[in-house]
Amino acid sequence: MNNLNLNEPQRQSLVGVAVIFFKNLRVAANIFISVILVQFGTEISFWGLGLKEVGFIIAGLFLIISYLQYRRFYFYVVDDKFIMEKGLLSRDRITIPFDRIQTVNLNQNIIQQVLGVMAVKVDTAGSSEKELEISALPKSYARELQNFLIEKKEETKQEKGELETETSEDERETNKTLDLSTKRPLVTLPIKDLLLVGLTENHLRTGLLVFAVINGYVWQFEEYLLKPFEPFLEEQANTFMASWLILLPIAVLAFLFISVLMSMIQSMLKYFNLEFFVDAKGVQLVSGLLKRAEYQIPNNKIQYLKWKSNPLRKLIGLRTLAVKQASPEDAGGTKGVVRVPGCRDEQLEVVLDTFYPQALEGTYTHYLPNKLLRLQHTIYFGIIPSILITGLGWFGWIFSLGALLYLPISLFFIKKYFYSVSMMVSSEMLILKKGWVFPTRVAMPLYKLQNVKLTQSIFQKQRNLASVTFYTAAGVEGFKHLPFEEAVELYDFLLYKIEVEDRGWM
Amino acid sequence: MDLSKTMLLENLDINPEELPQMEAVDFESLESDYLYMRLTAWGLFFLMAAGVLTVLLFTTDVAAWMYYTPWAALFALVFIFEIIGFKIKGYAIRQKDVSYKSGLIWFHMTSVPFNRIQHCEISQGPLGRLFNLASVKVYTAGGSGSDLSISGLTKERAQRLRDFITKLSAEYE
Repeated sequence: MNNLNLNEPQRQSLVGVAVIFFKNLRVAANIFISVILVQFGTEISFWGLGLKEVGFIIAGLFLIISYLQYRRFYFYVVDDKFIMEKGLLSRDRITIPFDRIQTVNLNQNIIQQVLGVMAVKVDTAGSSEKELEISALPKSYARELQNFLIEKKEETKQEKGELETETSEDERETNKTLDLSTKRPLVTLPIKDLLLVGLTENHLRTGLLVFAVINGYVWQFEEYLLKPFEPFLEEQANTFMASWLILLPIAVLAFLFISVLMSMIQSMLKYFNLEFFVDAKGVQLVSGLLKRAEYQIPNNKIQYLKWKSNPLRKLIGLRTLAVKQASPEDAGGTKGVVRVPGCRDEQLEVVLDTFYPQALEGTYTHYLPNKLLRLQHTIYFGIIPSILITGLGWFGWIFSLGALLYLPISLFFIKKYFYSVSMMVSSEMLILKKGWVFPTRVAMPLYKLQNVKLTQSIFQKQRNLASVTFYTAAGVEGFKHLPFEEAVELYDFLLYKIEVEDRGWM
Repeated sequence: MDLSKTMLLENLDINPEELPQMEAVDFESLESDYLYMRLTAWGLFFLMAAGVLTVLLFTTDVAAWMYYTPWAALFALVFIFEIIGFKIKGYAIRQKDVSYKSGLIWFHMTSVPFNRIQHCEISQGPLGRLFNLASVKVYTAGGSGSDLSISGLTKERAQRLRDFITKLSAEYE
């Protein structure tokens, strides 16, 4: 820790200029594109300057800005606070008391990899999310800083007497950076598995995402992109309309192709050379091609585990494991979740066994939802959409045929879904199962619960049913339409379990 | 695992009958002023909306009664629901948790154990100041959906409740 000398304001390493420059490049490129588009069709000239010159000027400006940003970025330590200063015009001073630090992560994007530096990102327990990142530090320095911050955090916590009891030693141990890299990773993704993961991503989601992004861009520059083609489009419109029956399958195929391609690229970038380490201290995930990210969650921060699959992945026996971590900024959100695609059942068992050895013991009480769930789904996802589709029959008979097809298929899926929902509760664990197309499992230790909620709508009241919602610091889960007595008993039981519990949820 | 010792103890099954039962608890009802405050708030809202409607009325030839009747009916319905639903609202403090229930059409009940409370505060809106009513908000780490808010307490009662909850939850830190 001695060579860190954080009493003096420190700058990042000089190559940080390049990292900051590339960070700013996106903004610069956007400005440049709009410059081109504004001038679209006309002779390109600005006060006698050509396009190339304008490009150079923008690049130069941003280089200067980046350099100034680098010059004006400091970090140092005063008493028990870590301080960052930044900002060109307005000075931002971000103060982080050590005991507010949640986690310290190291990241590396492609430029940082090339330049041999790492970004240190500090997550705090504050409710407002700020950019707390030092973008370029030499690797060894970054690791040292990470260790330093985490150690300081523990020290301050102990001084404040938050961890006075015997457990403090353990927690101190677990809170240290889990350097598990010497161990053998539990899950790795060799190229073959990586390809499989890419192939079995949720293509529909990727496709829609790409579609949304492209759509956004197209509308942004609609005037410039579409206007020149307008006469042509109008002329062709009638022909298009007539042949939409042929075009539709082609569009669907193109959509599918692009979706699959994008999912492949995305998972390559995200999960390349993935290594997932697990031991009693916590989990660590290292992955990524261009941007190599390192996440770790100490055992006590893990709130619960959730694993999902989809029809394609189910076929090859892969699941995605999500390790849910307490994140005050957005409970229920996606922040702070470590996702491991391509987990096999054996590996999942190891994870479960490591963190929740008690999961396999004890007697479980089983719960099933009432038929009202199926009835509601039938109305919302079966009958109402069918009526809407039939209504579209006004545009062409093919839609009415669609409704005829849609209804039985949706009823089948709803039935399958209904029979897939169940819950098991022991005196230690709560296990939820739902989903047929996208089977999802949740394993939640009862002592990680924050509080419980019971709801009953008038429809439920008629049938003497109620729903129970489980709140944790990492997200919300729930179970709908239990018989009222069972729901109340579960509610009382869970509250009792939380209240007699000595183990802290964090 | 050295945890197994404690586990065995906890693995003793708890007889459901012996669980402290939420249903058996008497919930404290809220100040009746709170009902009047809510009715006032609704009244103001409907009054404002009626103002907008009246302005719109000048632009159409629809008869005035066609315009106001559904509005008045909705207004009456909301009032009836509020008055009936008010009896359902209530809070309860037990040895180890605080609960709130509410909702005629969508009933819901939340309980927050004292050992999970992050912090607790009092808030009072402009109408609340008028009626001398305040609400106590209890925050947990479970996100905004899990927070508990007990409205319709006199300022003094709210302060006492807040102090009480803060004291009890501090014992767990």
